[in-house]
Amino acid sequence: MADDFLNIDLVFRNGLKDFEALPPDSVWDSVQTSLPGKKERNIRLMFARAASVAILTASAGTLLWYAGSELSDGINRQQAVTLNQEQMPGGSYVTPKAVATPVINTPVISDVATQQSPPGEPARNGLSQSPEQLRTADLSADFKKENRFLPLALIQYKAVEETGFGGKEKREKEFLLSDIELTDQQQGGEKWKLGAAFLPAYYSKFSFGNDDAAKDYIKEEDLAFSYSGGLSLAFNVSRRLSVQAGMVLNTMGQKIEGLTSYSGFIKYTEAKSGSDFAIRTASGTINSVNKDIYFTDSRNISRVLTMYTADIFDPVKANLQYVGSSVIQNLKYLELPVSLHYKLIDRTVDISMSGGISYNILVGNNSYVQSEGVKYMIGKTTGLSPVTFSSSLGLGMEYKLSPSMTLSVEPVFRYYITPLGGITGSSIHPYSFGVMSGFFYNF
Amino acid sequence: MNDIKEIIKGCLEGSRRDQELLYRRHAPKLYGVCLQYSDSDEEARDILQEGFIKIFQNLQNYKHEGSFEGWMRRIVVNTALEKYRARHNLYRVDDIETINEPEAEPGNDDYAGVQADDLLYLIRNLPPKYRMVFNLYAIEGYSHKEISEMLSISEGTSKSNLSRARVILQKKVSLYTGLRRSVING
Repeated sequence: MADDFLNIDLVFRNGLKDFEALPPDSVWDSVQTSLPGKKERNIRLMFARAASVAILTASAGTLLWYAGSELSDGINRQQAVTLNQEQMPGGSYVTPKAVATPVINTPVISDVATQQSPPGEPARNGLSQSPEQLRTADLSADFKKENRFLPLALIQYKAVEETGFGGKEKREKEFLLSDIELTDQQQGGEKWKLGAAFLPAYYSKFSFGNDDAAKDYIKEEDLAFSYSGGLSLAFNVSRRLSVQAGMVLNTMGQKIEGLTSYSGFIKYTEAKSGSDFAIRTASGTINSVNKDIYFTDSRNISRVLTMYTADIFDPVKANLQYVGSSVIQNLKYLELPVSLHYKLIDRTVDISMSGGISYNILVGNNSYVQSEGVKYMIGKTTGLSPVTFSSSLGLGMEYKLSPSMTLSVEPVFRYYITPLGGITGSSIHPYSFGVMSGFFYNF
Repeated sequence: MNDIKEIIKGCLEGSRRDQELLYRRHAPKLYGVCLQYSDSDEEARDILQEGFIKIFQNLQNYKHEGSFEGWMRRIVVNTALEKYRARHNLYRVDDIETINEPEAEPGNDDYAGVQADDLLYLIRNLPPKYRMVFNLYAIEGYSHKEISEMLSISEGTSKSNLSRARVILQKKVSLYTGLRRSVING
């Protein structure tokens, strides 16, 4: 008798030892929404980490800034010489200052021991039915119908001596941690991310130095939106830290006010080559190569450098056609950014902080005046640095749309460590606020 | 494979990904335990949910000594016992009865081929008080003294409930295997 009892104990013990069943997803949903007490710890941890990242980024930025200053100085000297000697028309200058620039129920089976169907009567419960009916119709129908159970371990018999049944001291052996390999999804083991991102940004600029002319120019240059887009590749160094690099085309520009332009000047120009008009901006000088456009200052700031000054040439009397009162200056940069991203909050919506630098190559440079939708190209801005360095600091959110696709939205602050260009004696450093949004494929 | 210590560390730091990783890795086995101790799937889900919440809330008390799965399983079993006590404390009069150990029918030691889900079904259809004692003694390995403390019953009642559970299960399993054998032998 005792052996029979031990035997039945073993049947259940061994049979259910490795039993597993998948709980509905709703359980995890409820669990994760009932985990208070962690938030305070997270917030403290988040701020500590945020502070560390900010300090590191600021330190790196400062060092780079000093390095960038020396580089830009060298560029400034070189460009100033080029503009003064080769690109200005002959004759007298209107402004005396030097030009220049830079910068996730079972059925109740009655007790068979007490309920047995009389001979000749139809079976009333599962256990009086055939084994096949028993299995498929009653015992496990619900379980199988819902397909909730994982593959089960077969019951394997062993002698009592072999299994060592009977002691609490053996309990631990049955609770050994299984070495269940996780799927990639469970591990969150994607190492790479490839994505496309778009970043509209709003630009402004800092002006260093005591050049009053530069300050006056900046006042009359309307801030402009810039648009950049490109591809990026990220490598997850660890669960929280990743390194990202990419290639981005950034189009930025500004509207320069205080300039009136007229068309029809070509019949009056005497220069066969070169430029009759040079327009000074905070980031460089636009040397007009459009012989048909006449420029004149319309405000108190002297921007236009020309020998056709108002006292020598009157565009109204010359019957020139009015075009507009501003000049649009467009610059395109091919940017090669490298940044570090650190996850501050690692949940359904990840929140991370990023800091990085970018090597920017000037690939597009043109200016134009616009009238009734028609653009009159006037030329390039000289005095711009062909290469610039910028730093960025962002606080982003990432949402997993699927195991392999992520939506990223990241407000970004960028600051140009080296100037785009500028007026000699001053240093114009643009900065921007933008929101980068993109989709990333994780693999 | 992520090391369990790293996952636990991540959970303690509040990483939702590590918490989900821990849940996804151990929930199937612990849900199996919940099903053994419950009358319905709904009750099993409740036990699992409360169990995991306790696991996360007490994770800092786990000292990395002994089996982590064993530690989690004990929490889940204790959660099931709390629910059982809350639902069955009105019937404590049954617990103090002393019943002579019943005679079992001739045993049948050939139970090969009984599937785990059938065993689960049989165990879940035991009267709750028999089921609890059987689970704690035969599956978990607790002694009658420990079970009496856990369920606030006498050791005699624990032994009696175990015997009744065994008799019922033995008859069901014997009938099951007998029917199965008769079909196989024609």
